[in-house]
Order: sequence, then C-alpha cells, then structure tokens
Amino acid sequence: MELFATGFNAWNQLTFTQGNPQEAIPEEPDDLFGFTKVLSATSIERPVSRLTYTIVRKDDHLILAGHGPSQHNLEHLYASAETATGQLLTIVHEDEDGDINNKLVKHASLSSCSSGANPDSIFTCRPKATQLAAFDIGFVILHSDGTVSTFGDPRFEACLGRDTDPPNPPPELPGPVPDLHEIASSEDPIKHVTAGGSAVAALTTSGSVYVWGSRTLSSSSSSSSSSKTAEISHHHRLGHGFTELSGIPNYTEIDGGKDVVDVALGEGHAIALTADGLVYVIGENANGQLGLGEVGKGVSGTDGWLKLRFEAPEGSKIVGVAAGPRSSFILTAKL
Amino acid sequence: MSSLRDQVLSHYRHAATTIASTTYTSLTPTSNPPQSSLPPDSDPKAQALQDLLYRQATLLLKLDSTAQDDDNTKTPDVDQCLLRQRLSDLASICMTAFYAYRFDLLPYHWRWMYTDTLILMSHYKVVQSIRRAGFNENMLLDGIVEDLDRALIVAGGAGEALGRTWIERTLDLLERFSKEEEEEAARTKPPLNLKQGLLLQQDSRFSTAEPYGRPTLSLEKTCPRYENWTLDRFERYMNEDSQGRPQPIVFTDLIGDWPAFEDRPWSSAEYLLERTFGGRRLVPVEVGRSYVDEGWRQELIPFKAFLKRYIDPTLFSSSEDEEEDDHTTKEASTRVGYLAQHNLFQQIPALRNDIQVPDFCWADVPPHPTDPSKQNQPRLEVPQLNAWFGPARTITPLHTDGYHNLLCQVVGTKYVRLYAPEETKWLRPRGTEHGVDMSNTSELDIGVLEGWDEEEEDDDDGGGAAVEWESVRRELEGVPYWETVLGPGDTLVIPIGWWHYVRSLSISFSVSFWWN
Repeated sequence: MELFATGFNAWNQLTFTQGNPQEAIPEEPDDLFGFTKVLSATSIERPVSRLTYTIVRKDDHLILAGHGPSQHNLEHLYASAETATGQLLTIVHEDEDGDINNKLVKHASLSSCSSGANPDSIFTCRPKATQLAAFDIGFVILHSDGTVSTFGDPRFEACLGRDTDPPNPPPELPGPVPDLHEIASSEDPIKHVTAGGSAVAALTTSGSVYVWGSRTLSSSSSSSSSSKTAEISHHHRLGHGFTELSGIPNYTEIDGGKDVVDVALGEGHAIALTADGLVYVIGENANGQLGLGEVGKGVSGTDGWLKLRFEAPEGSKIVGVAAGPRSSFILTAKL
Repeated sequence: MSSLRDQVLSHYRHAATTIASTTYTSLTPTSNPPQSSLPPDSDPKAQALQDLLYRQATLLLKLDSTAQDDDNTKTPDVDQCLLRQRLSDLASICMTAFYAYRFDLLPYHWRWMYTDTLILMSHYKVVQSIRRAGFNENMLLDGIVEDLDRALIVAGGAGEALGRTWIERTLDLLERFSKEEEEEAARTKPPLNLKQGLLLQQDSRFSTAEPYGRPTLSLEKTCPRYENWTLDRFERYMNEDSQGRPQPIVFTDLIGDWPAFEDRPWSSAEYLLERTFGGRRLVPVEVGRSYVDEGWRQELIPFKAFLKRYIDPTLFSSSEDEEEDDHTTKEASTRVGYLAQHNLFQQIPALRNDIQVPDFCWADVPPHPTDPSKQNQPRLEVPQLNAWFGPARTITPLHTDGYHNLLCQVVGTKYVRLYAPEETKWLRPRGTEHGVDMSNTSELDIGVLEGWDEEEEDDDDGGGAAVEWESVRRELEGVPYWETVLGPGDTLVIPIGWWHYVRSLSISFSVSFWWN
C-alpha cells in the first residue's frame, strides 16, 4: 500500500523518515502543493493527522512524523479525537454488555490524561459508539445503528446540528442529530463521520454526504460588560470551504451527484473519494492542502468541488482518503 | 542615515532576537500572566508553535542583516514567500485558539504568541521598507501600525520582554520617524498633499446637529443636576443619605477643566487625527444598531476610516479613495458604527492626558442594593476607563453593569433612561444565550417601545421569542424611571445595578469610569 500526502508541512509532519522521526529539522520545510508519496508498506491504515504531526499504523506499528508527542502516547492519540483546545475523546470497550453499549471518556488535555488524572466526563453510549471525530469545539459520534450524536461548546450551536434547549440534551452531553436521522433512514444508515474547524459531515451507506456547522466560529451574542478581545475581527482567520453551512445537515453534491465512498474534513477544506475511484477537493488551499500541484500554488482555494488529477500507481487503486487540519491524504492498495 | 531610522531598526532587531529565545510554554496554562513554571509538555501544540516562531524570528534576522548592506542588489538567502506564509500560518493558528477557547479561558501563551507573530510581521514590513524608498511609500507604514495595533487590541499586547511596552515605544519611534521623513519630503518636493493626503474641510469641528430629534423629557422624571459638591458630600449621598440606595444624578462641574474641551479639542477631527498617528491607529468599531440585533458585528479599522465611514464623510474631501467610496458609502448609509466600550486611553496614552479621573471615582460606595451575586466583579484597584465615540443614534440597549459608573460627556449629546434595580422584574432580563449569560441585558427595546425606532424585522428564527410590544407597554406603565440628556461637560452617576439605555442624539464622545 502507499500513502500520498499534500499540504501544511511546517514541522515535517508529512515526511516520514523511516528511522528516528524526531531528527533535526534541516532548514525551513516547505509545504507540499501536490500529492506526494510519503510512505509505502504491506499494510497502511488511515493516518491520524493533527496540526503539527501525523500518526500512521504501518505494518502493525505506529509511526510518527512532525512535532509530536512521545512514543508512549501515540496509541492513545491515534485512537482519540482531539478538539482545537486539546480535549481528547476516546471510546472505551468493556467486556460485559460490550455488544450493546460502551463508554466514551473525555480528558481536558493530553497531560491530564497521561498524568492519570480523572477524566472530565464519562458517557455511556447505547447503541454503542463505533467512530468519533472532533471539530474545533466539540465532538461527533457515530453509533452502531448508524445514528449520529454531537456534543460540545454551547456557544456554537450550529456545529452541533441540533437544538439544545430542553427537552433536548444540553450541549455538553451527547444528543442525536435529528435531521440527519430523517434524511438517512434505517435503509441508508450513516457509515462514517468526519469533522474539521467548524464543520461536521456524515456519509451514508449509499454514498451521500451531509455537512453542517458554521463558516467560522463566531459568537452570535456579546454581553456589554464582557471582554471583546477575541470577538473582534475576522482578520487572520480561515473560513470553511463549505460556504453555505448552517445548523441543519445539508446534502453536498459532488460532480452532478456522484456516490461517495470516503470523505474527510480539514479545518477549512475537504477531500472525497467517489465510487468511480476519483478524488474531489474543496475549500482552503493556502498550504497546498487541496493538492492542486505547483500550478495551484497561488490558488487560495475553491468553493466548489474540484476533480483532482491524481492517478493511483500502476496496478493500484485508491482505497481511502484522510485529512489533517491543513493537509490531505490518499491511500492506495494493490489491485 | 537618520538616527531615528537606526533606532527603529535596532529596536526591531532586539525584538526578533528576544522572540528567537523566548520560551512561551513554561507558562501557567491559564489566562493570567505567568507566575510560575510548569512542565513544558502541558501544551504540545503551543510548543510546536514556539519552535516555528523561533525559526521565523531567526530567518527575519538573517533577512534584516542582508537588507542592511548598501548593496541592495544582493538577494538574501531567505525564501521570503515561505516566511510570509509561515507568519500568516502562525497568526491564523493563534486566531483559531482565540475562538476555540472562551475568552476568559484562553491560555495566556496564545495571546503572547499572537503578539510576537504580529511584531515579526511588522518587522518584515520594516525590512521591506528599508529595501525600498521609505516608510511613507506604498502604504507600508499603514500596515506596520495595523499589525502592532492588532497585537494591542486583540491580544492585549501580551508578553514579558516585549508586549505592550515594546509596542508603545515602537509606535512612538515610528511616529517621530515618519514626521521626520514627511518634513524631509516637504523640503525637497513641493507640498502636494498635506495631512497624509487627506484634505480636511476648513472647519474640522464635528456637527452638533441632532438629526433624529430629541425625546421630550418629563420634568418629574429628569435626573436632578448638581454642582459644587465635595468628595465628602458625594460619599454621604452615596451611602448614609440614600441608605445605600443612591439614585442617578448629574453633575455639571466635574470635568470642565479637562483639556479635551479646550486646548486639545476632542470635537476637532483634525486634533483626533493628529493624536492617532494621522488616523492610522486601529479602533474597534461595533457595526449594527445594537449589540443584541442580528447581523451585529465588530471590526477593527483605522481611526481615519472610522471618521470617514461612520462619523462624518463630509469632513473629508471626496477626491480620493473613489473605489472604496462606493462600498463604504452604501454601508454607512444603512449601518451605524460605534467605537464602544474600548479602553482607547490604554491603547493611545497620548489621549489619556486630555482627561482626568474625577475624584468621585475614589469614593467609598455601597454594594449592589438588591442582588449581591451581581457583585462578583473583582475589586478594581483603579477606575476602569472606556471610550464611547459614535455618530447620532448609536444605541446601547437597556442593561446593567457590575460597577458604579461615572458617564462623562465630552462631545455632543446623549439621552439616557434609567430604571432602578428594584424594577428588574418588569424589565425582562435575558437568559443564557448560546452559553453566554445575558442576564445583564434586557429584552426590551426602549427605542421601539417609545416609537423612536422601527422594530428590527430580520429575525427569521420563527419569532418564537418575539416581544409583544403592546402588552409590554401596558406592563411598563407606571414603572418609575429617570431620564436625562447629557451635554458637553455633564457627568451622570449611574449607581451599580441600575438599568440604563443610552442613545446618542448627535455625534457624541463620552468617557465612562467604572469603580467599586
């Protein structure tokens, strides 16, 4: 299998030196503007890429690129979802009743987690959680029956995709995204969730992608005597590539309505793999995360899905896509 | 080479050297300035950013040193495109943190790193300007001032060795150097454009007109007006005489000796532009009718643009910025821009000398009369100053503050309506909205209730929470209130817990002093 990567590379987080990943950074590493082969092995699993590092399971062991955590934290970080404030959410599998429910454990930060401090909160999931993703200020949970829940910061309700007033669950507790359940009925359950920045997406079994959230995090209200420090300007801020985001999950059409088999969201961009084996990208490209190649170096981004010129190596096909906050990945396998 | 220019450059080199050796993550992971050292792995992402910032500072020093060579043809061995991208990456990563954390939980090192990033960004522009003609060309100076002001306003000028102190000193040096360059240019060339190319009308005093009229005050509800009070007399009023429940009153003689009225006139656009580095300094502006309306937002714009867009476009000659005018005039005709609740005097200390803290702000004052939980504001060591500057019909909706307040009117007129804390039950305090406690703000819109304003129609939430104004009017009938119109020189005492609605009648500039 082979892994191709593009995008933000300020800490060499897209460069897998096969020996010691923490070796000295030469000069100022540039970003990758086109998909570049960064890894090949018998088996490669989907990478987990964060702002400053990437973790990949390669031939059954985890390897790290970039400015990352120490080796003993890799397994935990690979299995967790992390918000922009460093909150970590992990699925804990328990023996009894493992088929029906499981638990989610939330830690305030990696250091609170590795110091053995008590978690912030523990949630019981029924039906059990099968997959997690994090956006800047909260989490999205996929359950085994194909339903989806969200929880997070109450300031940004649109990212939760649901009402948080009673009798609905409060924003801090996982609660179902009702509109999604109407769209994706039991015949077409959600099979994958992904999130980045202030956007969240769910992929149905039949291949439809629904997105919700807000273009940027911005508080809709401000009280007179509160500080205005951060609530002040959109300068130096990225907006998400999906320009029409709201609190209601919305179908995103790719190239006339192609079925999608895999999708991943970054902080301001997204990448999708369609059933016919093509890759599409949308959104921010300041760091080359769309992989448009050297010609795309001056292109700041696109607000429509763009077909990528990418061909899997001879005798291989694309099997998956992934995204870091400002990077994208394509995974290929031998036919 | 001018010595001021040398000073600016060495000042910047010192900053980059400092940034290249700063350890941000040895900080407490709280929103307070550092007190003690903690394990550096408490925030691995911030650690990585520190490393990136360090590298950019080092590259900038390298670029700076090649720029110093007189041989300008030599290209420096630094990828400038990548350097610009990395500085922009640093800024946007910091901004993500600014929004992801609730403002009171944002760890200090994020504000510090954002400040240092902006210092480096302005350094880059300084280096560019050396390689080219000078500061006043190519709007480079505008960009430099903008970067530094962003650090002050958005990040509070956080930092240890640099931060606010360094930025203030730099702005001072830049201003002096820019004047020197201007004078130099005026000597060598015929004076084409005076006053930074922005020609003011002959009389740059703000209009005192009240274009939307003035509410009729009822005699028995008008706040009493006093003069000749001693601090002792004021303290007795606030405590014994009112049994800890003082009413709002107006003083007419507290601030008459402020330079802002005479020698350093705040009613003069010319004077204010001079104090704001030719109008280059950024100010935070609230755009929209009132902070509880849909579509309300804040923007950071140069003071000059604020005057032109929102205060009085006719003060300026319309010959320049044509392409900008189309957009901004349209905007200005529909939107009100208000420089509100901003400590302009900390940002621009030169303006601080134009006013004095009234002695009454040191008076012993009673606690909140009805609700001690509203007293949770930390004790202020010194009174907290805020500037309020805007055109006619800026509105601050009915709300309460966690402090006693002296509202001092310097330019123009303002209408204020006040309800006692005891009347809270009639005033429909808001609840928690999107996780923010809004209980200090009322749902009532006094302007709509009184028929001064149209109700905002753009509420497309389904209108579930829409207020029935007719029934509210009936409900409020007989609920006592005080009102007043403040003119230049007037000071309104707003005791803690009193609900107040403030509406400017003309172009208006006020200063508020909070204390407890």
